[in-house]
Amino acid sequence: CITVKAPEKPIEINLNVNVRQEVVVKLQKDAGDFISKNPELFPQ
Amino acid sequence: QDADLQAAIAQGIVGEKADGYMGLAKPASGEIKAKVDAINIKRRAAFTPEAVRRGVTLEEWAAAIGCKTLAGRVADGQAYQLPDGVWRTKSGPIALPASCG
Amino acid sequence: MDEETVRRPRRWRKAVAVLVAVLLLALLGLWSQRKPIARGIVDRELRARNVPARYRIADLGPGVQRLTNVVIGDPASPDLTADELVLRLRYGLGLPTVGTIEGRGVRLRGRLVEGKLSFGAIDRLLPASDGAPFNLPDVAVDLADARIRVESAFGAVDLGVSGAGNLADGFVGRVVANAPRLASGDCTARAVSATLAVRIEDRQPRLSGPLGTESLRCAGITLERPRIDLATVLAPDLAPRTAQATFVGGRLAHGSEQVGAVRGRISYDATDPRDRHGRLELAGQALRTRYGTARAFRWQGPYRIGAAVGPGGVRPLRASGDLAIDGADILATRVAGDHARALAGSPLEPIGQALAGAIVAAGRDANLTARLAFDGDIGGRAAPIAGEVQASAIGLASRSGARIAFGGGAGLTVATTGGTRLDGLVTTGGGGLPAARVILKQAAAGASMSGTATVAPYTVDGARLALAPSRFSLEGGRLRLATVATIDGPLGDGRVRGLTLPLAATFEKTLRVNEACVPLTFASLSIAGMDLGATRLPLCPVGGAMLRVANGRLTGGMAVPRPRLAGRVGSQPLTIAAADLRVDVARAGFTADTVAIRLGGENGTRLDLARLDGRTGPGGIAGRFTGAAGAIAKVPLLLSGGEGTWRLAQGRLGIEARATVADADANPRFVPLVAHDIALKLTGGLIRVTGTLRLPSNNVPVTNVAIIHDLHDGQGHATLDVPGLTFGPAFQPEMLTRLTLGVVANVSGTVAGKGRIDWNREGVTSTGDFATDGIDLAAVFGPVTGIRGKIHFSDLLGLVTPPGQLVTVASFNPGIAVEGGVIGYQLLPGLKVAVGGGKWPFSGGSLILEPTVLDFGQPVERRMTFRVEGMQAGAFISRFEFKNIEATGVFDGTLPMIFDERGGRISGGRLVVRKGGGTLAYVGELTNEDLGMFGKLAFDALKAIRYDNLAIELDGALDSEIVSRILFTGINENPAPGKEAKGLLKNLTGLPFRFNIVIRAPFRGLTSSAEAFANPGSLLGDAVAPAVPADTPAAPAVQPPLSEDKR
Repeated sequence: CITVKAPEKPIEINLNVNVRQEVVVKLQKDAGDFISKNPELFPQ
Repeated sequence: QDADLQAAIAQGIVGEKADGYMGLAKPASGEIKAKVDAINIKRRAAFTPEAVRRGVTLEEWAAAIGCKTLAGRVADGQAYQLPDGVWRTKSGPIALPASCG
Repeated sequence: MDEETVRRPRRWRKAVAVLVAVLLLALLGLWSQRKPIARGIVDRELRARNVPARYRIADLGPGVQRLTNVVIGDPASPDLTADELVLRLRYGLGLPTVGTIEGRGVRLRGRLVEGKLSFGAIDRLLPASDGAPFNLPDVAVDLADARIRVESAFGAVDLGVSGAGNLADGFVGRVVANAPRLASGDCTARAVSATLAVRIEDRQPRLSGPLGTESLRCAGITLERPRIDLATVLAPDLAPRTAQATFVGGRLAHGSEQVGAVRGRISYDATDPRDRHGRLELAGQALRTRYGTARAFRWQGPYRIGAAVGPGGVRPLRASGDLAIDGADILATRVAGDHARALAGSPLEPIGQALAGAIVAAGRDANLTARLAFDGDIGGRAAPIAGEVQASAIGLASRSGARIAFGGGAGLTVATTGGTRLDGLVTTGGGGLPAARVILKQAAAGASMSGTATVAPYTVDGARLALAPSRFSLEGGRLRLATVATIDGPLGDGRVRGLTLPLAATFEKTLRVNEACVPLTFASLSIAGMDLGATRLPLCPVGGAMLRVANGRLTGGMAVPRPRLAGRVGSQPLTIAAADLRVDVARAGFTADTVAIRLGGENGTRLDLARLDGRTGPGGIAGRFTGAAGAIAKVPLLLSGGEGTWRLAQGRLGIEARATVADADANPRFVPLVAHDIALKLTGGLIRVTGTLRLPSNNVPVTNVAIIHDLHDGQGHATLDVPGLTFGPAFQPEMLTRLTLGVVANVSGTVAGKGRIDWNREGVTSTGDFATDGIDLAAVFGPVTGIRGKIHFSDLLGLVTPPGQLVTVASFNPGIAVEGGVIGYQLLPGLKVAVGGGKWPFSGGSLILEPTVLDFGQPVERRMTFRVEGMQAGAFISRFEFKNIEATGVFDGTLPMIFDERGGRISGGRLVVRKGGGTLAYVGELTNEDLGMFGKLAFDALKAIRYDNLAIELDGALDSEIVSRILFTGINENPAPGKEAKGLLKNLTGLPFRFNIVIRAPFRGLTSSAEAFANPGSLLGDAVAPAVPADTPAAPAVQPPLSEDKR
């Protein structure tokens, strides 16, 4: 008969593919404005 | 602006991190540490409504800030940290983390 | 005593003597008439004596010869005229002698030259003076209205003589004398008149009757209208043998000094010419002299004039007697009051005033007595009177009861040449004067004087001055005195007892006291509530002398190097020390540098002053201080940089000051605050302090402080009133305390409340109640808004509260917005926070926060564990926006959370389904297609799985990605509809699958209440998190759908 061997590694379901990259990229411009508008938060 | 903090930045003790917050590149006085914590608390409080308004996680917004700070606000000789957690001293342009695009 | 009184009687007596002499000469004139007439051979005699004479013998009987119109001498100005002369001869054994002579209308002119009386031509009728003592002739005369005019250097005298009787014995008659002006030496008498009854017994004429003169002026002294009643017996040679005279005068004046009415009595006995003596009594009313005025004075006493001696015929005069002056007002004592004012403010003030009062009273209406003796000569060329007056028993008895006496020793001798000598014992007492005995020794006039003075302690209502027997010396105008003064008396609002100070004073135009250092000691001093014990202080003069009095101005200064004072305030030990203390007498003020005051022993009250100065003024002492630092008992507040003013009056000390107040703790809980309006009052050992503590940087008032401290037993309390601390962009808590830096930021809102600190000898306790009705802030793990609640501190200074403190939080966002909740907590020592249990509805079940302790003292992770009970899988899953997953089942478990500087994260969270399992369905695509056959198989099975046990493990940061691993075994309940189950798949139905799914998904903070963060309520527009992490929200907010592709 046929044995079905369950896979050793748990099935990795990544529901949220790391889409951070585009998110971060898209936020760059806004981030720049934010920084210039709040200099006291960004001492140099 | 706080003179002690600026001095610590200039000496490479305190630096910007890729995750959008500041950190201690070298051991520093309790006073400096408290001031860095205070800056981070204020940043976090300011980041939250920005993240909420844009429907992104606080971390994503913070990471975007991190890209900008590493890109333009770290002077040569100052310290910075990439996502790998390693503190480096800037000399020449910083290789931004991938997520900065 | 006053020399005038001594010289005056002597001058009047001289005038009397002149008058008597004139009278006698008149009689002498008569006597000389008798002889020639008796012999009857007048002409021969007359011619023999070349005496021009004209007469008519009217009757020449055997016994009677009557001559009329007799003129003897130069007819132009005859020496003698007489209307009728009758001589009756007496026949006896021998030749007839003249019995009686009767004269009518006799006019005789004589001249007195150098004491010898001359009647012109008649002298030649008189027997030459044969040196035999002059004697009255044994002849009877009978005269009526005889006129004798005597010219003399002193002036002319008209005498009217009448009477009858034997000149040697038995003549009785009357002499009336008038002289317009008599002058002798520097004395002139005007309009002198006398009416004397004359009786001669045994050759001794007795004259008695009144004499008077309009005014008698001698050497500047005028006596108005003196009237003398004289009774004198002359010796046979007509020199006065004895005389008694009383006289009454009007005003006796000498320049501005005068005696209102003078009267007196003088007796004179020259029976032994070499020892003429008598008594003089003198009295006057309304005496006014430059030394003062008096009601009356009396003098009485004997005098004695010895025989003339030496070429000038100077005669020794000795007089003595008792002088009494009644009702005298002595001017000198009036000024005593001015000096007393110099002692104002010092313990000697009452004594100074009493003494001055006594002296002034003593000098008013006083009776003076003195026994005087004069020993000298009269009649000398240089000075009419020269010699020495010696006063031996001088006494003053005043209406005030004061008694001053001087006697013994050589007494007070004053020479007319001016030298004085004072040698004897002075005693004072009564009428408020101190009882003193002063022994004075002076060898001779002008010589140096020394003496000792013993003064009995002088007590006046509470103040007492005792002087040790003091020695003094006076040499060449410089008085030097040494004694030791012991003083008890009031000082400021307290008293000093047994203050002992050696005094060395010199007086030469200016008074200088203590020009060298001396030890000052006192038995006790109580002032301003302090009681200082026995103390010894080295006292040194400043500027040459401790005390200098020059023309009424009081100056000088004292310095005490390194003064040390010890004593008590109530039961509390007190020490005061200073680098130096300087007292300025003129300013009546003091200055002290680096003063250290310790009260209450070891951990008592401590006060250090850089400089303290003060001045005695009306009613108290006031001054300034700078550089004040210190602490009150165990109150953990340190005072520094204090400066201000102080005032001590009626037992109350008041201070107005500004100072900096800091936390005494090793690492201070608040920054030094400044107070500009500190007001301190100290009365009866109770200190009351009020003031407002402000932030130095922006002057924001932080708290009003009121302190009450009892110095007696060292206990007290302070109340802190915080009307309202409003934090905002310009005022953040880290400006006030280090505790919040790095814990919270962007604080906005108002905190108000009251605190109270109590302390006593055992220790310090403090409580406090603070409240806020709305604070937003940013905490380490995110913003917190709407913090409201009251907090009661059981140990305010230690920041410790009893359990069960409650605070409600509107919302906080550690990554996911958490709606308001009530949190129970307790602040523990060492900045630890015990968070009490809390229960919130959570995804259909409830979330329970297990009590835990968070340590804010150390920069460590803060762990909190949440228990989940009865969580509905569906509600939970939807929180993770797994839109394309449905699940059922009830779960329990724990979510351990860690908060640190990176924010909040779940670590080791585990939820387990309850018995009965549930179902799970996933309809989303597969993200990584290369799952392989089994993967696809399993994935399809997921579409509808029934499981009986499922565990979800959760890890990850709240603000980014949560990794959740779902482990379960389940059976695929029904194959996917519409897809034929190909062979293999079909028989998979009902097969048990073991799933190990890892879901990595953003823990989005998207909630409908997102807008809440930007709500206008928070001033900042920033959401802030509470210092204390709150639990998760009561109800999960609905989360907007997961958008597959991020924009």
